Amino acid sequence: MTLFAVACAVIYPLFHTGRPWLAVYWLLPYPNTMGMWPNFRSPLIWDVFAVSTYGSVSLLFWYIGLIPDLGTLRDKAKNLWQKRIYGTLSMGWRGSARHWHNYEQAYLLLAGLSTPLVLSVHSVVSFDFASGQIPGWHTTIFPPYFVAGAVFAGFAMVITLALPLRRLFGLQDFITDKHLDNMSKVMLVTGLIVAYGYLMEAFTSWYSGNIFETYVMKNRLEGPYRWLYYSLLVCNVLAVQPLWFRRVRYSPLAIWAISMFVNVGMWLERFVIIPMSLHRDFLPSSWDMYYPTAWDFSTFFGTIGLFLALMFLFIRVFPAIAIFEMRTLTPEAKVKEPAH
Amino acid sequence: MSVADPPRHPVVPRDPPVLAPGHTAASVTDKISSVVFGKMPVWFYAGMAVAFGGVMMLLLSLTKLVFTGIGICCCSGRSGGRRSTASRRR
Repeated sequence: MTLFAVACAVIYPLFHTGRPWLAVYWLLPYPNTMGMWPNFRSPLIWDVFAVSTYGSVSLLFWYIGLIPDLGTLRDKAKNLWQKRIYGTLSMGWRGSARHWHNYEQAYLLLAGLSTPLVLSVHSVVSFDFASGQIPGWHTTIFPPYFVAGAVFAGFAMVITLALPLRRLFGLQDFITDKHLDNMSKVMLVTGLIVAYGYLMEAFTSWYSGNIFETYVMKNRLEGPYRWLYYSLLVCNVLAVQPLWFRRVRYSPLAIWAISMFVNVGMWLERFVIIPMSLHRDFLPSSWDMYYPTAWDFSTFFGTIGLFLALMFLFIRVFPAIAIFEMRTLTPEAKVKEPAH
Repeated sequence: MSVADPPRHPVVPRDPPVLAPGHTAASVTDKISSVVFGKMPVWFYAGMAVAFGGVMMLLLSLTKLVFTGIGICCCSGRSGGRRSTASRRR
């Protein structure tokens, strides 16, 4: 899911460079004959590093995690070409003690790298805004607020995709009520952190005494896009509150509906941060409204299509649930210590 | 409520398992890999067709953006496409 989301996300800054075929030349720091380097103070460059690091570590983590399962698929494949492809991808996996030892070390290392990366990537992405001077962007709460928002939206998206797949492929034995309960709890906690972020934004705008900051909040509450801000509060704050109840956390339909609210809410959050802050900045002479064109809509829905197409392909070609991890949960995997 | 009445809400066990009981390593492997090797249901192809339509829409819009941005195409956009009045006068 992360990889496909990164593939979609990279399209936007890439095409906003104007000449995407030159983007690598402009954005990546490499020694060249003209001695030219990108401007490291530009948030666009920070984005390049954040997205490329996140993409490459996620790719490695995903692929390494798949290796034992690719070996299983190779052994189960009946078609020669399937055997060859899965065999090549599994890199000669035999499941020997030595292979497991190396595998577990590599996986642990990548897990250790990926965990702080979640914090750093979203913090860097938030700096893209926080280092700007636009009222509504220039705020120190953005890094933790973006990290919590990413976990919140990530869990919502996992629920959005996992619940229909669980039902349609009959995977209820592997994605159990326990998983739904735990995912709902994480969504509730991160949702509360995000709600705290909204509250602090409002408080800071008042407490700062800065007329521009105060106006940002006034514009959100009373401006022409106010219905989007109220919808955001409904989707990201109110809609998750039923998760306090155990009965809701054990109802797949209710959780799925809540996750859809969160998906919409997180998109609205981006709209509130970007166009709503830009459409009324310091100079009233530059104030304007943003009206999306048909091309804006088609790019947006097109990236959703790309994400879903990649997901469908993934489900068809690779195991949707880690087989070897599930095997470790079976009773036969519990090794009993011999009595001494 | 009499003793025979069923509960109004399904009873949820206090600590449900992470993996449903009755599975072995072989059954887990067979069930998950059946999604890869088994026959896909019709909804899968329908969903894939819709998603592929989305990819084509993305391709079209990105092509339009590039062509308009560099002034190749005559797309009828607000900012691109037909050359602006000022450039036509030149």
